[in-house]
Amino acid sequence: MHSLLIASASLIFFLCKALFVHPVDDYDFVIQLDPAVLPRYSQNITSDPTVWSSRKGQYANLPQEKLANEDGDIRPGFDPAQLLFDDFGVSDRGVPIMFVINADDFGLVYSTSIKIPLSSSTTPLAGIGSGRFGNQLLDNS
Amino acid sequence: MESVVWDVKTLDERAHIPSMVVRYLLGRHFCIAEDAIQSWQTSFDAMLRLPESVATFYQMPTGSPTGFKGAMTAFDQLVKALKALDDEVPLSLVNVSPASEYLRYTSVFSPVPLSPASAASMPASLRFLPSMEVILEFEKSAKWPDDLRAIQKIKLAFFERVASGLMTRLKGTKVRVVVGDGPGQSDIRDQSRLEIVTAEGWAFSARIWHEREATLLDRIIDDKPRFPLSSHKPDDSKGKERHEAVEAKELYVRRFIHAPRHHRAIARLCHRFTAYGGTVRLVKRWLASHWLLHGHISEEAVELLCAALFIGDSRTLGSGLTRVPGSRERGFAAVVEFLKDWKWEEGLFVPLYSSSETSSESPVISKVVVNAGSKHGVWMISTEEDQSGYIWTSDRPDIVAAHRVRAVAKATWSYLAGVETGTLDVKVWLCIPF
Repeated sequence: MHSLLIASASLIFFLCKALFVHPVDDYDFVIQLDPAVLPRYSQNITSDPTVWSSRKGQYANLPQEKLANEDGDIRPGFDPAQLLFDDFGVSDRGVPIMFVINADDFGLVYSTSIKIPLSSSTTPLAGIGSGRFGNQLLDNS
Repeated sequence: MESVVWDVKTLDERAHIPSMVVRYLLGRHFCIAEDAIQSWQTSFDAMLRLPESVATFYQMPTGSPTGFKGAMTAFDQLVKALKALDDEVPLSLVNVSPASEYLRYTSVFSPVPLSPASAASMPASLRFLPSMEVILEFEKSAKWPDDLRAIQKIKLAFFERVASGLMTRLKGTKVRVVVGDGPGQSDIRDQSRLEIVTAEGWAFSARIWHEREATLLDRIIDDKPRFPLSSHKPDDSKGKERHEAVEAKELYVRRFIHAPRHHRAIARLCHRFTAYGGTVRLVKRWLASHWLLHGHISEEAVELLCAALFIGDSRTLGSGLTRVPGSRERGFAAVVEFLKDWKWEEGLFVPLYSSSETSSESPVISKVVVNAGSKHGVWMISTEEDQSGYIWTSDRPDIVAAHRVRAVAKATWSYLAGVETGTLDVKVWLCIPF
């Protein structure tokens, strides 16, 4: 087993890459952004080269319209995913306790200790990661 | 004694020379074929490079410099052009200080210019161009206004003059004045900058440092009510102004005092320890891939943490590290090991600005008080210039993110240990368990 581990360069590459792959199972939900419009998508450790090598194919349900800013204008430092993340960070909604960002995904974890003053809510009923949502009245305490 | 020249083409390959020596010796003395020997360096190199297919989109003239050296050459050319603008601006430019990870060998990816020709044919998902921060310092003058809002307007006027001068002198350079850092920002804080894109495609973001701002902000922050408390009516506007002044002062100190100082110290470390820059890049890549960099941990905080492994007191670190890491892979593993056991409640001191070769004695650090639900950063990383330890960690990582870092580090360390000892379960290869 040990000799097998060190025999193949591609295997070593795969082992190394696994250090940098992030599992998303812990998040209550993950928001995926369209990678075709994210300037930093190629920096994702698991980026798909077909996104930039061909505009066809990955999202067949999206119309093939001209992408914004395709006139080639250079916008230094422009990172719309990060800007969106920063907006969420300054928002005072008090709902998420942890918002994280990858090059094209957001992960969000709810805190069940935070009550949302709404007449109905979609907070998980049974703790983080339960995957169950419900509509029920919550108090304002 | 003989010396041998090893053929290397890139900076990454230079770090492979020791393994090249080992391969040669194993082949010569034990008849082990080269393809039977594998190292992890090439795999780690790949983590710090963009996919190969991206390179085909860049259209650059043959021989044009890229990477860190290219960025620094572009910076030097910019400084030369800025200092030649004495006739166009009312005050002489005294200093241009870099304050960017792309100019100190510690950004995850080597900087590459994005020329207009490349950008025109590039899809949107490849069009990111990092902007390198620089700080402009003009000569002192009594003609600056004594009002914070007026100072910000004067900065705009300076930027307009510099922009005109640069675009005249450097053909093909595009310069824009950018106002505002986002919604809801106060008008007494520094919020304007000059965005410069050179003809080759290097981008810089220049800000003006004016010392008087600190004094004026302190006046607002220290302003005491003139009348006794009993007769003092609460004034909401004063409270709001004071709050804005505190935020503006914090930004001023971080941006204009600590950032250039930190940059110089980190650049010196990169020259002093060949493995330091690569270690920082790998650690940043690892944190970014686990969704923690920038959003929860600043780049400067990462650089300080890595510096602790090279110049810190090993007794304070509590690690078994007795020697400075000689390779970035070893440095990366050492940082991961440190993070899995680090009791961040006890803080960390990094002798970053010590002039002696040996690390200075660690000062006594007061324990970090962690309040549940607090939005303040819980990592306290102090240096000689920042005794409080919160310049780069004032609002992040919070307690949840700090625990997350520890969990990620523990899982990564277990994985590395399993690979090294050959006891790794095949199923674990798919993702690291948390």
